[in-house]
Amino acid sequence: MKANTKLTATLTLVMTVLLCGILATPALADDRLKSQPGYVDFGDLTELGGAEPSVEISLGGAMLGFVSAAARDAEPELADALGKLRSIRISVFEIGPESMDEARVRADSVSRKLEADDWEPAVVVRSADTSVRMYMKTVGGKVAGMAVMMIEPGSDAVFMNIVGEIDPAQLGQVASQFGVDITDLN
Amino acid sequence: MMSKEKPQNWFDQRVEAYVDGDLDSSERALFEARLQLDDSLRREVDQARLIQGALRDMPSLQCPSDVRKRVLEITGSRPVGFSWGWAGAACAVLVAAIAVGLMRTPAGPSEAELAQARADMETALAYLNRAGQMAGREAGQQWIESGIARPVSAGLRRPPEVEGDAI
Repeated sequence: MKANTKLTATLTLVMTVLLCGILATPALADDRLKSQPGYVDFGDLTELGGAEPSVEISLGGAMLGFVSAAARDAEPELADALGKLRSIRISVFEIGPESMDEARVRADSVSRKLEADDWEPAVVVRSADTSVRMYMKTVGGKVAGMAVMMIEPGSDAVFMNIVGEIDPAQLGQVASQFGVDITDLN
Repeated sequence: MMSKEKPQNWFDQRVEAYVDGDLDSSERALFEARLQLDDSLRREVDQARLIQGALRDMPSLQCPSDVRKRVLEITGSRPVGFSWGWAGAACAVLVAAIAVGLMRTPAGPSEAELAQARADMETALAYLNRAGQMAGREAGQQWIESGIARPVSAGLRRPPEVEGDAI
């Protein structure tokens, strides 16, 4: 009887430890990413103007590392550009006239927060019908993060954050190689 | 005094120590001199850094304080000595620790997962490229002078048919 009690207590303890480990792992990874200087909190991006994102991508450092390793031989520039990244996150919303204001308010709010946190505006274009903002976070002379917000009426609103050590020239060069027709994704 | 001429395996054996910053100054100087000349060694270093980065990104686990407290309560209330029950418990905890360790080991993704990640990455970078194109279109080349504005302008010089698709 005593042995049964001990065994039950032990199994309960083991299961508790295992469960804690399983539940804590993703949360800890998330916390670690959020503590990076290049991380941007865009707020709640589960919906905009009542619509869910049409494109939602979140790649972590480990997966980017695998993609980088796979590209090492055939595309060394791409592998180098991805190798030091910790995360790529992007949310894209199709927007109509009714959700333009909300998108602009959201982008304005994030811009103010970024500028208060010493993010540098690299490109800020606000015309009557289009808005493109690119911000960069520099730490110790190196780019540690990039935030991109793009609003195009009748098309979409894009919120993007790249975290990690970024070589802007290299990343721009690599990005220009991808001729994905984004209009098809919408 | 260290010889300047070292066999290839001398460098191969020091890749991890170099990436970890464990080489002394003379060894590091030799290693870095060789790195300038040896593409293969450079690739090994890149790979080691990649693995180091991936491992660094893996979360570390901490036992919650209430669990620790419970363990101490249980162990503290029993006399010390061999017991089959506690030997079994120790084995169970060991198995649990190994299981948690295996879960934390970065198992490689499947080919399908890797292909999906690659496609996602391409899509994300295509949006970055598009943002550069739109910025250039709206603001003109006066914005595109240095820093990040320079690389995104690369998209503006892509072949016309590709540019037409993307915008």
